[in-house]
Amino acid sequence: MHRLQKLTALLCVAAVLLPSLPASADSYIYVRKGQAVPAPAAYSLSQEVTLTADGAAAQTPQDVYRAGDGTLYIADTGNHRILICGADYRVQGAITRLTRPDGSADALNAPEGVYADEAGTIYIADTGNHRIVCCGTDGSVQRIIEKPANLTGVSEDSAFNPTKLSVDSSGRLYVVARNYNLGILQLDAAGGFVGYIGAPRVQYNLVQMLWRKLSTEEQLAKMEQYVPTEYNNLAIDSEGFVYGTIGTLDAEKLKAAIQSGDTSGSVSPIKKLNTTGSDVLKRNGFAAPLGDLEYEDNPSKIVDVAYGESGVYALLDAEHGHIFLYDDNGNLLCAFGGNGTGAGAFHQVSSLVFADRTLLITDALTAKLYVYEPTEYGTLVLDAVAAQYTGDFDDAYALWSEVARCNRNFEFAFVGVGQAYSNDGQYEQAMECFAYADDTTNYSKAKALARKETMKTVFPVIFVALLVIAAGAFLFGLINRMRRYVRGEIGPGR
Amino acid sequence: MKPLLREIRYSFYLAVHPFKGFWDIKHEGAGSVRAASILLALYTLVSVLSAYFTGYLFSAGTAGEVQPVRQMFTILALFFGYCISNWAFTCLFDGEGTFADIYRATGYALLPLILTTALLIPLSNFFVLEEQAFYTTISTLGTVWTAFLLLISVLVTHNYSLGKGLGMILCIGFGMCVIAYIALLFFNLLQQMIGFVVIAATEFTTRYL
Repeated sequence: MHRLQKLTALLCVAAVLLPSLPASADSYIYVRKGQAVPAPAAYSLSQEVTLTADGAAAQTPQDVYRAGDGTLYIADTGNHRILICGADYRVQGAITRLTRPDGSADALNAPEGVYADEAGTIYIADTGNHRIVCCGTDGSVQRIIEKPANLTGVSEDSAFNPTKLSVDSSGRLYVVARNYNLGILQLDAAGGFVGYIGAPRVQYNLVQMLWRKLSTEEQLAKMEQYVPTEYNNLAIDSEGFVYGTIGTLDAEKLKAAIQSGDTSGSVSPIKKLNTTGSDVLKRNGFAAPLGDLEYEDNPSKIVDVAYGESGVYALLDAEHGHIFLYDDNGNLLCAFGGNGTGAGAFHQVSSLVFADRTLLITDALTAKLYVYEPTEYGTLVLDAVAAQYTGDFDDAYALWSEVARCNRNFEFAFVGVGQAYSNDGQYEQAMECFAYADDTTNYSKAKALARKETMKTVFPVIFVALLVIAAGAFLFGLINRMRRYVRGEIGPGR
Repeated sequence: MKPLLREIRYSFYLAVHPFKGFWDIKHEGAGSVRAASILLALYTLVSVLSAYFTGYLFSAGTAGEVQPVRQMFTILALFFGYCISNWAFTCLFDGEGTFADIYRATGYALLPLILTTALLIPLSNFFVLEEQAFYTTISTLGTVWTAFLLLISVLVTHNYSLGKGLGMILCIGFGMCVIAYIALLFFNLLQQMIGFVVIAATEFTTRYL
């Protein structure tokens, strides 16, 4: 505890010297009661990059991908090309023409998705041409993947419109195709169909199970087996988990899920799929990660997800132009952005990606790349999350205390402070923090531990007192009987 | 003092011997109006204390929003609404109870509720979320026991059979709603009347003075 006290003292001194942080008009956070309250800006716009190549400005860029070395690949859909930018966000080149292995020329048609692997191969979801193109940075085509021959689940004449794609460490392609509602398509390296992933099986209630028992084979074959799930974007992190976003959720169901505080994940615009296709996203916050909890007209429409360090991920809401950052447990860390007509405001965001801690967002209508850097407050929050993720509780305590000092509305920071207290054995202070953050679960855990501590000291006293009372009562009864015997009221024996 | 204590102790007897207890209240003059009033006051007190001092885990975060006067009025309104509705329906259903009988019986029936609510105040500060089952069990026990005593009081005080007694309970519930509705109308009309007078006076003073 000495270390904690020293750290606190140091921070108090530092706090006096730190300048006060201004609240931003468009930065907010949700409290447990479900209201949006203002918050200090965790991210601020540092650059608005107009993307131009060969004299032509970009038109409706739909996807951005950042390779490991910092190179950015942007799908410039309106101009049928892929832009390649360096780490300084300046356009270095573009893939406008493709060259097939036999030398013939080819071109892209409204490409909506782009991905690049470590070897430098670029995978392009050539949506207008109903195919996936794998090529090098000079446009030399290595492979073309058309609609797989053995594709199940869709009719023969349905068009194959791949919009977004990603490749995992074993070379398997994960493709999101428009109007395919059985989940994310899995293709092997040669382009053959492997399966679907991410559409949960239909859960039958009692009445439906009875009905199924009475149905014939043909009727059973026609019934829905999988819940129709149409993904609109995906990202695969370093551990092989597939983050998928769904944009076509029913507004009424979302509203009901928000109002009932449903964190089971049955109605969720973001799913984290493991290799077997189960949704393993942790939803341990007080509200499920689905964007805005309060809105005027329509709920958030999540169009992209980006994963950062320490399990942090960001959701992009195209309906209101908001960006939400969540930690790996599903707690909201910050929310900012917004559609509008002012400088730096979005019109229709299309894609986002993390560049270390910087956020890069493309806007389809303004055709710009927005670079958001974390502010001092944002760095504090991300540092605190990282410290907690690695189990560094002393640092986490110091950082969460500082975050709580900056933003008294951020209940999760108080939970972090409370957990640090709890780990240190100071249960009363932990309970105070949890009560402030309205977190009954953690309060209950701390209270159980505090109770055990008290019991250790109190129980022996109670036990001895009970023993003394019992002995005293027995002795009293004995003496009473002896007195009555002496007086002759009762005979010898019983 | 001693007779008063004896009358209050009678409520313990009544809680475990409802049929004989309520019969004696009606025919043998056991129990008294003042003891019933004391029990009612005790219940109001315990209820308000519970709102203040229930532990954080079981208070649903409302410990800071307690309004003791409003809570008192709610309890008293419910109690007297029940008694008046009960007494009003005895005319329709040929009941034999007088208002004093009903008042005493209802007051005495409150004892289990008082005891469990009072017991839960320190327990809620001691329990953890995992022990919520204990908390709910004790709370439900008190409520169900009191409800059971009220049902028996209706049966015995008015000398009803079980079916008629249950029907009477439904009618009492309906009667309480009617009383509430009429009270609402009354206060609304009163508000409009007073509002009219105030507005007329204000206009008169601003226009002619």
